[in-house]
Amino acid sequence: MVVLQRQKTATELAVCVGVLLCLGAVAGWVLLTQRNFNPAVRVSPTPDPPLGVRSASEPASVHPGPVANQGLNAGDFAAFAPAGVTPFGPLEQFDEETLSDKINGKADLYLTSGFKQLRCQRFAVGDGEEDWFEFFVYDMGTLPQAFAVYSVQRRPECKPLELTEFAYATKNALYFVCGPFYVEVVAAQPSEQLQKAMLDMASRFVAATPAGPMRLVELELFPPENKVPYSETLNISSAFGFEGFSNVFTVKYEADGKHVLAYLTALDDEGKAAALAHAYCRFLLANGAEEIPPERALENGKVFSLLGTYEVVVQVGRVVGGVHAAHSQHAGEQVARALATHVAGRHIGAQRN
Amino acid sequence: MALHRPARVPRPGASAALPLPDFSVKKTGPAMAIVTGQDRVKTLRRALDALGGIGRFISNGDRVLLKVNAAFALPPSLGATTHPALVAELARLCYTAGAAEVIVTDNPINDPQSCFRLTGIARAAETAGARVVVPTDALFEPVTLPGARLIREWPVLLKPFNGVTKLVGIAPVKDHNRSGASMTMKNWYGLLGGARNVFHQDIHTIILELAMLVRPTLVILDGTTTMITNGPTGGSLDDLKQTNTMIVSTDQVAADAFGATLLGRRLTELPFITRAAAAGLGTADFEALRPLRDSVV
Repeated sequence: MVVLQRQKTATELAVCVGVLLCLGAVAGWVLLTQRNFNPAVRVSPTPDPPLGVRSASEPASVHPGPVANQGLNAGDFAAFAPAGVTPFGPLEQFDEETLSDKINGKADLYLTSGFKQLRCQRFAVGDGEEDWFEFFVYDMGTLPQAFAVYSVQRRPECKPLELTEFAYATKNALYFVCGPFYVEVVAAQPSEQLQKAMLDMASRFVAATPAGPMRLVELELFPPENKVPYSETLNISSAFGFEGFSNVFTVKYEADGKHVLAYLTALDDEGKAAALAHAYCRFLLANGAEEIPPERALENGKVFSLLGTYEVVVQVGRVVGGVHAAHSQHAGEQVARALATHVAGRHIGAQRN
Repeated sequence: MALHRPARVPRPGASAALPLPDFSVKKTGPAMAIVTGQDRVKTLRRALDALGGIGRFISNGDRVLLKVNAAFALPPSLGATTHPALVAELARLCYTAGAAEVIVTDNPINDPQSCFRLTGIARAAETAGARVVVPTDALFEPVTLPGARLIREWPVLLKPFNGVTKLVGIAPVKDHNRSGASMTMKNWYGLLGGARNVFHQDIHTIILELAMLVRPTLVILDGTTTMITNGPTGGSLDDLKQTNTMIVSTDQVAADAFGATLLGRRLTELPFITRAAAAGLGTADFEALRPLRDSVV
């Protein structure tokens, strides 16, 4: 019995040592592999040709993006292409992890505004070497988030388009919002032929994409008088450097021959609005602002001077608004007062429905 | 870990330990030329002439690497990448000066083949007899920069540097959503491989470390058009402003400091410049170099 026990123990010991040796070998292999791991591997999935053998000016038949064509029908965008417009590259798709592989440092703008996915593809008119454009569709999740990235990038010298409620063209590109999608169509060069093809394709995309009501209620809270056309923006987070300011809409106004920036954000209820207004006033004071008396009575409002500019903060029901960095106290108060009056007249309710 | 702990710059004389050789030409010293004009080929030539000619920097038998910005598969007209006319002209000038070989490379953000082709850089380089090296994983090697906090065991596009004796960086002046500006120092970002977008969280430090890593022979900062907004990709011609200026310098910090003026940015808005200057990599006071100024019609 004792002998059997000893034999068993010896066998178990041998098995244990064997298992440990195997585990050690596996661990060694893993460590060696990790040590030699090169994160640059995704540059090329194909065997490497000798230096300089490949001619980079030759058109490549395949342009795999980081997750090109994954789970997508490559004909998705091609279906919107008008006659004479053909794919000039594969459909590419980028998610939150890979967006910067396409747009590099601009990715943050989208990622902080609710970005879900980017799909894009180049299309050519004719032989394509010169006359091509790229169709970018950013899925931003919601209409306000799509409007946000559209509005803060809006080019000042642009031509409004009737494509959707929010759309414009520049010499070589189209930009528009369609429901939760922000779309850019960028041509390689300005050309009437390209612009027509791009507009045709964009129109087909809009027609085939259920956008829902293209209405942003907050924009209607801004008074229309003296508004600078197409100056509306939406800042999803940290407007004016204040972390508490999310979903802040802004509109520029003409006042005393200069532009004054009015803003507002709608909260769930009056209590939250009051707390936010108070927090923003404290933020201003903490950053060197000085509270000054208003020129005329301003209900639920405060005026501050800061580095030679003027801030006005007002609360109307569940809306916090005001004026940011106005050039004069008079102009700032004038615009803030008009904003407060207009918001009060819209009767948006004490609580969000 | 402290996010803004400064990287330690290696002491002079410790360059033997650096992953890349120092490509600067010692006899020239710090120098800078600023030439205004609309034709970037003419302004480049005039700037180089002002500095004593290309022969002052490129010698017989040199193997020259041109580090371009081919980051995006966009046409040259959008100003997001190095203009192909500059690549062709510089390659040609290098050969005129006796260069044995001119190599053009970058590790673009987008698909490399598309980038080199659609930017026009590949065709321009090949037309001028330069060799385009498209990055593949075999061309990267893990690099640790002495004193660096971010470039540690990180893949860098090193293989194309084998045998290279001179290095010229060529970059456009651009707005950049993260760093405020993309110019000659940021251009070295295209030598990094791997998931380099993680560095966007500490963009000024990575640019500083890249400037520590790379000591070029020359940098060429193309401010013929400047991408004023919506950088680094731009997209609309409305993002560009005609600024008609070409900068050629041996000091990348000075070149970027001048480039900031084209963008209308203060140095306080571009910490990578002031940090690089503080680290002794060049001067942010570009006027101290007494830049040679000229213009061409």
